[in-house]
Amino acid sequence: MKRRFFQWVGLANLAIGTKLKLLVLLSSALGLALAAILLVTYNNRVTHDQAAIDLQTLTRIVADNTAAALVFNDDQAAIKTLSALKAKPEVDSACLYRSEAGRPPKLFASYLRTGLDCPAAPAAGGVREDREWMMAVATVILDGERAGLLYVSQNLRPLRKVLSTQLLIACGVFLLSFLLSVGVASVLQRAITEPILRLSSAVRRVAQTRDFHLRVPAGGSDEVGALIEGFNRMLGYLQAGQADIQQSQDVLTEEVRERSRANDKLEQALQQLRDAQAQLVQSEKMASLGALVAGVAHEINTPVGVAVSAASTLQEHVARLAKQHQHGAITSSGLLRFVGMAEESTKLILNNLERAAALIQSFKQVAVDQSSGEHRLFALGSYLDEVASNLKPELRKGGHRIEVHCPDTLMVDSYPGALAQVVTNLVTNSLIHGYDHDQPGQIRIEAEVCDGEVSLHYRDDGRGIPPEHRAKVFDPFFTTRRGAGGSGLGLHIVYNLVTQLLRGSIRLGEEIGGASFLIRFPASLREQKT
Amino acid sequence: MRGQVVGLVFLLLGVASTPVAAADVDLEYRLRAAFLVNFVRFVSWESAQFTSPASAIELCIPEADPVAPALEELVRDKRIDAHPLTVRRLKRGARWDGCHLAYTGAAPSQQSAAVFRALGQRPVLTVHESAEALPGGVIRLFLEDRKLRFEVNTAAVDQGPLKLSSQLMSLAVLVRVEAPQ
Repeated sequence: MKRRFFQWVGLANLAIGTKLKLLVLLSSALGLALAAILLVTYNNRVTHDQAAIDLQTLTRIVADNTAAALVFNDDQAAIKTLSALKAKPEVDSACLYRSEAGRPPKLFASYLRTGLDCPAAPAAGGVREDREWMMAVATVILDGERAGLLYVSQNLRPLRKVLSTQLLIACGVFLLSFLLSVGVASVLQRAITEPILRLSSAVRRVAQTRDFHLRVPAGGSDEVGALIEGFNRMLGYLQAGQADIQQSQDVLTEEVRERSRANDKLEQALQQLRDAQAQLVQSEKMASLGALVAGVAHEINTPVGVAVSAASTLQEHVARLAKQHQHGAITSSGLLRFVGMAEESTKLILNNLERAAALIQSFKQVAVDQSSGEHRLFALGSYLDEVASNLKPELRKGGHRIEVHCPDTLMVDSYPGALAQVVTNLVTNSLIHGYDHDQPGQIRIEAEVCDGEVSLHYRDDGRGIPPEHRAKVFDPFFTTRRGAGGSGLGLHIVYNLVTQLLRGSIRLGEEIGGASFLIRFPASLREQKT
Repeated sequence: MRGQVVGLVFLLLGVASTPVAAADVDLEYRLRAAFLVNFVRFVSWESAQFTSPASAIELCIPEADPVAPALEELVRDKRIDAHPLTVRRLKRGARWDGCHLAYTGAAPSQQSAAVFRALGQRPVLTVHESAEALPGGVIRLFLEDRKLRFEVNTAAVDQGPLKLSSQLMSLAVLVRVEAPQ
């Protein structure tokens, strides 16, 4: 409410100096005006009362002095006495009346200023006042008897003049004091407002420039001084905080720079590593190519060597037979022997060449190419059943059995030929390595789909893979049956088919008792491509 | 003119209680009586001159003086400062002792002078109507322009024990006649 009032009179938005000045001026003006009004009123009252008392006293004294003149009927003496009032210029008239028994008082003597008359019959007693005059009436009493009446009238103009002069002086004093207080207020308010203004301008400057080095010059030890001191202390804290922030920012920047330098180094190292890796891969490739070539050479060398030696032996015998024929020395037994040897030799040659051809076929498969089957949508379950039944003749020889578990609805969009090759190789691997001659085996294939990925779990119940071989089973030419029909390429081909053509993964299962393989590949290569 | 005088007397005697027919009394005598009483009003005696605050102020006048009846008429029931007024008529040759006011009337000046001489320094207000001021006579009544006036002998006032009011003095014609030593 109060605040609303100040808002209303516009006081709230004034500068603090103006407010202070206004405060001092208003209160001093109020006090001075009150004092002046009281003083003038009081003075007016007192002067008036005093004038009334004076007039009454004067009248009384003059009345007493006129008693003798009255009783001795000496009007000249009475006029003389009354004329003494000339000394008081404010007295306008003095009229002396003689009291007569049973009659109204009769004018006996008078002193009049020009233009005035005595009243015909003055009312006795006290002082009266009208607009222009103050009038007093006193009875002349001699020995308890009423001898007459004295009427004196006094003009109020001089009194009014005195009073108005006093009023003028009071107004002058009021004005002078007010001006003095204006001066004093404008000097004193500076003592209060100057520190505040200093503070406020400093606050504004700090807010604008954010320069916390700034300090407000200290004021006195009053509240404003305390405020300034507190503000300075606050600036100090802010400055310290800013310095801290700057410092930590610097540290951070330095750190970031270092990090990025390290990062660059790391990046460089990574690049070097990648290069090295690529080189390594390249050299590994070359090495494995070398190994492959060496393996191929080694594998091919044996049958070809056997075939060459058998062929050269056959050539020798053919030459010898031809010489004998020239000489006509062919015997029937000799011919028979040659035929037998030739038969044996050609057989040997044929066998070894066939073996070499088979090896070469295997090598061709190692290099997986896109032509190894077409890419189509097929029902995985029935397809696996088909592959299994194609293998049955081979399996039946050792009395082995195969089971396929797959949901009928599982449709796969992939390379069925590659999948058949994988399964065939795995089964062949199991039969060669897993079982003894008369040991019937049990092979189980389970397939399921999860999140668009087919997981194919293959397992047998044979002797399993020794731990020392686990790491190398997928390597090319790794075999425990070299010379016994193993080429060391079966699982390598599987690995290549799964990882490259099916775009999946293969790993050895952890089960104990029998070998197991876990193959995962996408159910739809089309989807995966997109 | 005569009516005026009668009116004046009335005024002077305004305080008198008994109205008297104008024809019965000589107005001049009544005026003199009034003057005598008024003199008493403006003269103060020492309290030793009275046996008590209520004892009378004695106004002495020769027995045959024509003013005496008017005076007796005037002082009846009149009091000044609680003192009643009495008129004492004195035979020729009687002593004026004990009087507060001694009025010799129209007696010859030698006679009046003898009376005043006899009174000496006694506190008696002496009033006479001789042709001129007498030593020992405080107040002399006289007519001027047909108007009754009075004269005060300041030497007699100064030498005597009586005090005359300044108002009375201001109305009087002042003379100074020293008593022969």
